Amino acid sequence: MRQTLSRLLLICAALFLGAEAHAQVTSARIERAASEPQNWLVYGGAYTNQRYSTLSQINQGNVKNLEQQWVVQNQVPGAWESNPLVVDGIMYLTQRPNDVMAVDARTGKMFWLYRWTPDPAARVCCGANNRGVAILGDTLFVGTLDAHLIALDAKTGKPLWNTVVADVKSAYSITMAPLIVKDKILVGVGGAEFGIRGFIAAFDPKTGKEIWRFYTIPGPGDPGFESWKGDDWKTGGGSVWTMGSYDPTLNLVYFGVGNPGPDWNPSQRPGDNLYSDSVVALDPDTGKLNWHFQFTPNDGYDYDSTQVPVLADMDWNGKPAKVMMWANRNGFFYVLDRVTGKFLQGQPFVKVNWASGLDANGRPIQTPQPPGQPTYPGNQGGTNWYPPAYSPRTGLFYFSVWENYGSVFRREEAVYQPGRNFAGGGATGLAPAPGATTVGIGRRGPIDYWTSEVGSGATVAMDPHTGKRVWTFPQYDVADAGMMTTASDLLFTGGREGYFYAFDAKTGKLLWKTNLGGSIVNAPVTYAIDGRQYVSVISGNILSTFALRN
Amino acid sequence: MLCAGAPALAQDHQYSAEQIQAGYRLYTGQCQLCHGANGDGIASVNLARQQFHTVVTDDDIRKMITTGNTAGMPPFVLKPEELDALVAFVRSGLDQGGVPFRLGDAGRGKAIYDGKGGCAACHRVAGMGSRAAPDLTDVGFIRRPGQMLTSLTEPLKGTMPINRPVTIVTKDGRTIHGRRFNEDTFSVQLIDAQEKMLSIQKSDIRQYDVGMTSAMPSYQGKLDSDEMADLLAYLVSLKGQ
Repeated sequence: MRQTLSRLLLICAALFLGAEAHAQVTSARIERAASEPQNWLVYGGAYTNQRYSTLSQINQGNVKNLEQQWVVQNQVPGAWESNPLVVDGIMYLTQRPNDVMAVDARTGKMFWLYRWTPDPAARVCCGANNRGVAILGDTLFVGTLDAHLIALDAKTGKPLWNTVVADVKSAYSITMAPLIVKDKILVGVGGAEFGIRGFIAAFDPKTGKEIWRFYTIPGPGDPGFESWKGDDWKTGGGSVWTMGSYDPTLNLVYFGVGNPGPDWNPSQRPGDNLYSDSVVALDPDTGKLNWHFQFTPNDGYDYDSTQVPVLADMDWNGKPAKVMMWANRNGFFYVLDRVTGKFLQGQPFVKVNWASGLDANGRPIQTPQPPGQPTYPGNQGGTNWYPPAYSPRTGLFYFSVWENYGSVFRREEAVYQPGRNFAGGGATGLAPAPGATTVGIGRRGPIDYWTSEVGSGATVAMDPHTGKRVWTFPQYDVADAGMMTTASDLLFTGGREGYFYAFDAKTGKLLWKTNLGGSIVNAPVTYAIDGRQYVSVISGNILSTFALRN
Repeated sequence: MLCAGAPALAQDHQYSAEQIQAGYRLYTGQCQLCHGANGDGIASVNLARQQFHTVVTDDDIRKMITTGNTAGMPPFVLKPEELDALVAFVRSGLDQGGVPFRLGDAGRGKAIYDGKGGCAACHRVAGMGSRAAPDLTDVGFIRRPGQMLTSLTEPLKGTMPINRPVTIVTKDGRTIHGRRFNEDTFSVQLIDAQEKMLSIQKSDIRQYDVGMTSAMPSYQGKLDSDEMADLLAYLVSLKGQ
């Protein structure tokens, strides 16, 4: 009996250890995420954020046979911007405001649901959004609207530690999914509409202890401080609320930085206002700045550079180059050398009138419009935070755009009060009739009252070498959908109208569509279980998962 | 409490552009954080649509702002003219453009709608009238007073783009005149001249014209300013119940 028991214990231990070893998501595994396409281990599929999968079971010939396998219903209304991760058959995703769930990626059945109720003092400009979790080992990490970072046991959904990252009463928040780099968790803070001083910080995954902090708005003695006057830096904004990228060979992480504060009154903060509206390249071990590139100096339009940096290696003028591609909210598409931050080229991709062009260093030649006159692109930008994709097979960069969309900006002196709105004016989207409904941050319902007269959307494939469009799929309503592309040259995306699309990534030919009925705002992901490829996308209040008909 | 120094506001409900715009500024600074840019940030309150828990009159709005309530609305210390400005901005339906308007008597306005205005020849209210133009049963809920005034005086400028007249020639040769409900990349939903609801795939359309005209006549000069204020008050009163 005793012998039997100890044998049983041994077997149990072996089983447990075996399962443990299988589920461990090591940093080495994350670094090679693209080589295990059955999983979706990090936000953008890999550290490059290309959202390119080598899975090719679903191809151009059979994509018409996709059928819905299961859905998860969001229990909390509001724009659902979560990006799922899939690890060995388990999907981890978040729902508003800070719930985390683990579901069977084959059936959609839920294992556990963790709920965190943010402090009622939490303030976010644009909805109770959360864009997903990160995983390292057996631990999930999620940022919260009241600026906590929480570690959860991935198998039980129970909290391991809970770290206060910043002060909720000063309107700091976290909406981005954390980024794991080696043995650290990197996360940034939101709140640039409330006069925060933004930062990116690194935490110890075991303890939640902060290891380093990089302020996106430099203080006295820091390089870049000269781009501010007086005390303006103290409320300088510079939020970080979208995923960064990582190049292990260069040991650099790249993050896009949000708008300066106050948003719309640049004369209240003279200077370039570094590192607002910039990309910063940091040493992930120390948080030290390696280089920066500013897209919109002294921004008066809320042109956050909170896009996801997309990394690729390609020939540039006949030489191999490590580049970063960036379609910016300000309406320009950029290619940068990600080793040095050098500007390689940039072109407007939509109607732009706030700048007449970029100089040889990529600095915009600003042409502010007279008061009351529309500025293009408008407040929501030519594109925004929704993740783009890049296919090394087609050499094309894919993203959603807002065409012919302008806003009238109003500038006012803002007075700082902790935790209160610090916007310095406002922006009004152009309306086709006085006071008529017009496009805004999120679609307000299933009926398009504003029509295409005040802007429309498109899925665009860009040649990074020329900055010119190779193909455009026009959409009637504006589009804020992310992208996902595969080795079978399919591009999956959607739009506000609720259609989920599969395109020929080379030509833009529409191969398949289905009406899911709700806005598609974040990007699809793909994964495989037992040799069957799945594609998941969030539309409105459902996450819908497709596979080929059996 | 009686404020001896307060001006008498009983005469009419006139809201000037200056008041509405000043109200907008105050609103963005002090109210928007909780009530939201669209006035719908507090559950079951919609300032733009005049949906309140307890507020009815303009003075109720002033009182709510100055005293707050136990549900979480804090009291604000504001000057009388600032209160007037916020009232005007709320009553304008949060109209950032600040179109000035005056509301008269809704009962007299209904008589103008049915009689001199001839509105029912094209519009419909609570099941009575034509469907050729938009059904106005809840127009006071979905449109701002300033928008409706613009539609009455300068219809072309005030027409919501979705309501522009459309003409569609299908590939099988049918010509359809109608008014849209909705449109997307692949389809258009409309009501045709025979009041039939149609959902047409764009792939079936040979020619598609959106008219930049308006079938609505202008009432500028046809109604005097008192009649206009009465008609507007009637339209504002149409909340769909």
